Amino acid sequence: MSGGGGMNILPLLLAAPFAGACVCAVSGKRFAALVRTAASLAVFWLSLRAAARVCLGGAFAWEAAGLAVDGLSALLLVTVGLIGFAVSLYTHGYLAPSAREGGFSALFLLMTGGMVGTVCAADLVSLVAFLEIASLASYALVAHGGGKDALEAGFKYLAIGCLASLFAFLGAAVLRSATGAASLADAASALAAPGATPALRLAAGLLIAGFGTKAALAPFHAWLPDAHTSAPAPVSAMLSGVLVKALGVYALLRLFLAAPGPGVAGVLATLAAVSIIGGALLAAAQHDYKRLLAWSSVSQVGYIVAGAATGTSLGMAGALLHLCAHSAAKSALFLSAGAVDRAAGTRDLRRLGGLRERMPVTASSSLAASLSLAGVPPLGGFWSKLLILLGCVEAGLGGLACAAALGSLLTLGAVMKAQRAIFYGELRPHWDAVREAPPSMRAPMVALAVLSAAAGLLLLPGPPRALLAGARDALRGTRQAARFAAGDAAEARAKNGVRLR
Amino acid sequence: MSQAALPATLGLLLFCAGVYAMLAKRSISKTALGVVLCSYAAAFLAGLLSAGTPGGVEGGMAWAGIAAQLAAALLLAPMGAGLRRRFGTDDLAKIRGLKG
Repeated sequence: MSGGGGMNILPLLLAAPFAGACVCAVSGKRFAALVRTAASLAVFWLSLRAAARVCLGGAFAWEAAGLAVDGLSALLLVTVGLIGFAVSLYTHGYLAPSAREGGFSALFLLMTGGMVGTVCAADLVSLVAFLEIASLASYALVAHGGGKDALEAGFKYLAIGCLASLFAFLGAAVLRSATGAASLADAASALAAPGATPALRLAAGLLIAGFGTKAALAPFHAWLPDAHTSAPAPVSAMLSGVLVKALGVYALLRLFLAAPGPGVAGVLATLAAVSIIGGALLAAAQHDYKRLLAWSSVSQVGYIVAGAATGTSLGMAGALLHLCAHSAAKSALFLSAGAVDRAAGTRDLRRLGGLRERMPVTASSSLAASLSLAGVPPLGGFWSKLLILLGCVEAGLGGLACAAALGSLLTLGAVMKAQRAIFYGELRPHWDAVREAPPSMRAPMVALAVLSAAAGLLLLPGPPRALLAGARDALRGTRQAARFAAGDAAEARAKNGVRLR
Repeated sequence: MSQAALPATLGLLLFCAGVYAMLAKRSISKTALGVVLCSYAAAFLAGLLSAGTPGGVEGGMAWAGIAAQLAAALLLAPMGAGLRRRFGTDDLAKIRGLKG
C-alpha cells in the first residue's frame, strides 16, 4: 500500500459495499434496507475523504489490489457515492418492505462496490473484474421486478452486456499481449501512439465496441431504452446516473479520450454526434416518460464523449462538468418518474396532466432538473454544454458543435413536452386521489435537482473546483505521458527503422 | 505459421459461432448457448494470448474473464427460464413486448 501517509481508505471504500451486500443477502427485509443505506452513506463519506486527500496531497494507491485514486477517479467516486446514497434513501419510500428487499439491497450494494472498484482500477485486470461485478448486479437488478417487461429487458440487457464484456475483455487481452501494457496509463499511451499495428487496431476496435456498449453510445445503445424503462425507478436512476458513466464513459476517457489517437478521436466524435442527435430525436418522439428519459441519456452521453473527443482543455472541462450535472439531473428525473408512476399508476404522457396541483415538490424538482438537462442558463447543464461547444469550435469541429447545439434544442423540446404533459394543464378528475411522494422520496429528488441546477458552481474557485480541476489534470497527465511515449516511439523508429510493436 | 495459428483460428470460429447464435437465432435457449460459446472462446483466446507473453498477468485476466462469464451464464439460465415460463415460448420474435 502506498500514497501520501495516513491510513489508506481504499480497502474501506471497497469493504463497505461488499460487506454490506453480504449482510443484506442474509438479513431480514427491514434490516437490509438499513444496512443498504448505512453502507451507501459510508461509501459517500469515504469517497469525499478520498477526494479531499487527492485535492490536498495528490493521487494515492493500493498497489496490491491494482487500485489507485487520482483526480478523475475522485470525481467519479464522489458522483457514485452521492447518487448511490440519494437513491438508497429514496428506495425506503419507493419499495414497500417485502421478502425481496434483502436481495435488492445486496445487488444494489454489489453494483455500487463494482462501480467503486471500476473507477479506482489502475490496471486492466482490475478494470475487467470490477466492471463485471457491477454489470452482473445491474442485469439482476433490471429483472428484479419479475414482470414480463422486466424479464425481457433483463434478458436482452444480459445478452448484450455479456457480448460487450467479452469484447472489452478480448480487447484488453490483445492489447496486453501486443504491447505488454498492464496499467491503464500504459494502455492509453500504447493506444495513442502513431503507427499502430493491426493488433493494436483490433484491440482499439474491440475496446471501443465493448466500452461503447457499456456507455450506450450509438450505435451500441440497443440495451439501454428497454433496461431503463423496465427497471424499478431507483435502478433506472443508478443506471442512467452513474452506471453508464462509471463502466463505459470512464473506461473510454481513461483509455482513449485522455490522449486521443489520430483516428480514434474522429471515430468517437462521429459516434458522439450520432448519439446526440439520434438520442434527442427519439426522446422527443416517446410517450412513456421513462423511455423518453432513457433515450435522452443516449444523447447526453454523446455530449460527454464529444467534449472529451475535442482534446481541448475547454472541451475536457465541459465533458467532466456535464458528467456531474447529467448524473444529478437524470437521477432526479428518473426518481421523479418513479414518484409519478407510484402515485398515478402510469407513465403514459397521453394519460397524465395537471399533477403539479397534487405533487408540487415532485413537479418543481423535475422542472429544475429538466431545465438543467436541456442547458437553460444559468443552470448547470448550460455551463457544461457551453464549454463543450467552445471546445468543439476551438478544435475546429464545426459539425460536432452544430450537432451539440441542435441536440440541446431537441432535448429542451423533449423535456418540456414531458413537463407539460405530466404536471401542467388541467387536473383530470381521475387523478384527484393522487398524493405527493413521502418525504423519504422527496428529499433525494429535491437534493439532486438542486445539485444539477447548481453544478455550474464547480467552475467557481474553491474546493469543488479543485475536484473538477484535479480530474482535468489527471486526464492532461495521461495525455502528456502518451505524448512522451509517442515521442520515444518515433525516436526509436527513426533510429532503428522499425514500427512500434 | 506459428503453432498457435490453428487453436487461435478455432477460438475465433467458436466466438463467431456464439455471436451468430446470439444474434441470428432469436431463441432464448440459443441466445444462452451463444453467450456460453462466446465466453469459452474468449477465455480460450485470452489463454492463448497469455501463453505468448511473459509476466503471467493475462493468466489473472483470463481467470477473471472465466469467472465473470460463468457467473453471467449462471444468471442467464434462471432469467431465460423465467422468460420462457412467463411467455410460454422459446421464440424471441414472439416475446416483443418492448420496443427496443
